Amino acid sequence: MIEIKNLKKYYGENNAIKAVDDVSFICPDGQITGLLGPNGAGKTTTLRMIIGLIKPGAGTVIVDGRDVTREPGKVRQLLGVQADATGVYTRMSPREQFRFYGRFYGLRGKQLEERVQAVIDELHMQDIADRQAEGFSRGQRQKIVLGRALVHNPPNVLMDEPTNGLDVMAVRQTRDTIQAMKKQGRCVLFSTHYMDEAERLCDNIAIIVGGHIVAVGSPEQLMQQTGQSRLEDAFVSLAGREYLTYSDYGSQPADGQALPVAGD
Amino acid sequence: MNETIVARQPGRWQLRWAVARQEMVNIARHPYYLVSFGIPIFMSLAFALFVSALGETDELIVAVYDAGSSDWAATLAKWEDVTVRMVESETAVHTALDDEATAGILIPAGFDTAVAAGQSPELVVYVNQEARNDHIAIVTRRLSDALWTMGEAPPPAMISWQETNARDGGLTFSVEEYIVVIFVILGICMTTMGILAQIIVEKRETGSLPALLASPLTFGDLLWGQSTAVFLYTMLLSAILLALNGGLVGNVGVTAVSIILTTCALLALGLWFGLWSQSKNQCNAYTGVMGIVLVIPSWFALVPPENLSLPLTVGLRLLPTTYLVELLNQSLNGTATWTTAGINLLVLGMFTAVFFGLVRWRLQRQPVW
Ligand SMILES: Nc1ncnc2c1ncn2[C@@H]1O[C@H](COP(=O)(O)OP(=O)(O)OP(=O)(O)O)[C@@H](O)[C@H]1O
Ligand SMILES: [Mg+2]
Repeated sequence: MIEIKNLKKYYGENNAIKAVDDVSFICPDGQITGLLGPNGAGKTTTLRMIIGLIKPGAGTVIVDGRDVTREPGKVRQLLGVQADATGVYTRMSPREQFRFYGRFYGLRGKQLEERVQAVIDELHMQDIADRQAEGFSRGQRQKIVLGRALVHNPPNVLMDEPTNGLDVMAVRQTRDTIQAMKKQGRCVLFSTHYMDEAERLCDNIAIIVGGHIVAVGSPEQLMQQTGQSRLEDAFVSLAGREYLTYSDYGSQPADGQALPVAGD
Repeated sequence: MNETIVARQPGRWQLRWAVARQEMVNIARHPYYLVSFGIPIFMSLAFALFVSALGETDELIVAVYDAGSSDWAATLAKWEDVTVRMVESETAVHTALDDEATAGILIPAGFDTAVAAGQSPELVVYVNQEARNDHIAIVTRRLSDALWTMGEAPPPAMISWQETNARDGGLTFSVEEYIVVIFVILGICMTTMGILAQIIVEKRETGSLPALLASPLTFGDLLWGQSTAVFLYTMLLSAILLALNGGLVGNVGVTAVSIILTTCALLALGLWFGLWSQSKNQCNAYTGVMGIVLVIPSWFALVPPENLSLPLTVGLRLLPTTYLVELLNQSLNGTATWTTAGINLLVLGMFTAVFFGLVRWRLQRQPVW
């Protein structure tokens, strides 16, 4: 379980860029939580603070009862993180990369080999497991990154836009994997800006816009709350005003006061 | 979830070693890195071929003037891998020494009878200080073996060692030592700094850093592991270069410690360039220029220090490799002891400490990650 309380991160001169501003939500075990928001909303920044890669300006992150700022090592042991399809070692095979990462979590010997094989099977990578990753397709690289995140069998899994840039088949496989992780009882948190993906997969959704959480709830609750029948419409009506104000398409007010939007 | 985590948190050194292992594989599989390691080895092999093509003999020659037709001289002639050249006068011995002989032996008249009578007669042995160290070592050993076959106590003969063609001291080398120094320094400067900087930049350029640091690995552990991998490769390379060029002579301990300390100093420089270069190209340019600067002291190894201008002397003193050149000079010709080498080793240690201190200081002020 991941509990996020009043998380803040400001950047720039005079902290003018409020990348994440007072974000709170909870991701329970055995459920899929979606962090939904437009470009520049603060999704990546939030996830990085959960991992402890960025020090929060304020607020706390508790993973299975442990505070990430106090026990970053322990928290990372409890987390599996899939960040991006980049960062794949082209001169190592997927199996070697899984071993490499497994050792960081204290796996060794037979136990390590078993976990590596389990991940290869789980992600259907048998045919590419022992090939050097040079020239791998985006989907194949994505699997390596995901496999590295799962090799130590973490109870919590974080993913940043896991289906970004994948073809239809790869998207399906990734979504199946996410659902399988839920069935295994893991706590899954992923960011996305695909509405249909969030609607189909998520038990809970936190909508983040301009660094603010504008709504939290199950897809049904969000649709009910706004009287909409599609999540996308619910999202637009919940995020609409803030979206135009804070997104890359609007201007970011320094004092929190909305600027007039063109065509208003 | 029901399944608990399968393993417990690994220790710092386990993490670092895991990184080191991975980086060693990474380096071994990378053509460019392999070439960096291969060039000094290739060059020293090519040089050996070139030298042998020039006709310089590797023969170990000992000139012997046997004044009284001693029987013992016959035992000398039986030495394998040594060419014993019997000459007709004492001056001929000196001529041979000036030419290429490693040693010259004067057997006095009546030597055999004096030995038999237990009088320990004097045996004059000239050692050519310009000869190869391993050749000198062989002659010394053979000679004492040959003497002791004639009897035990009292010593059969008193050897009077005489040095000829003595060097002027200071930064002067025999050509063989010079070659060892050139290739060892070339090897360290080309690989240690450059490759460490490259593999550090590589992690940032390929975007693999966030994923690595999302594990229990810290940025410090990563740098430790990467440095360890490059250190081990540099040690291997240095050992190969020393072995290929006849550098495993003299005070090998001093040679080893000097190389280790210099490698550490250059690792710190590699960290610096790797951490604060924007791209692999920039990093290549910086480490390339720095590598050439660091090789410079080896060019002056054959020049006596008093022939260098003051600015040049001061400039050279600012480079850690200058101290390595001096240390190798002493250790290879066997004159180094831990006491005489102490100051230079201390200076190298200080370079290492200062360089690492600077990296640490800048990393705290200007975090890379
Ligand atoms: N290191 C930084 N320095 C300055 N501003 C930053 C930094 N990191 C993030 N930001 C800003 O914080 C805001 C949130 O960025 P973030 O990457 O978290 O967005 P995101 O929701 O992940 O967007 P995307 O969907 O495009 O990935 C953006 O306005 C971004 O420009
Ligand atoms: Mg993002």
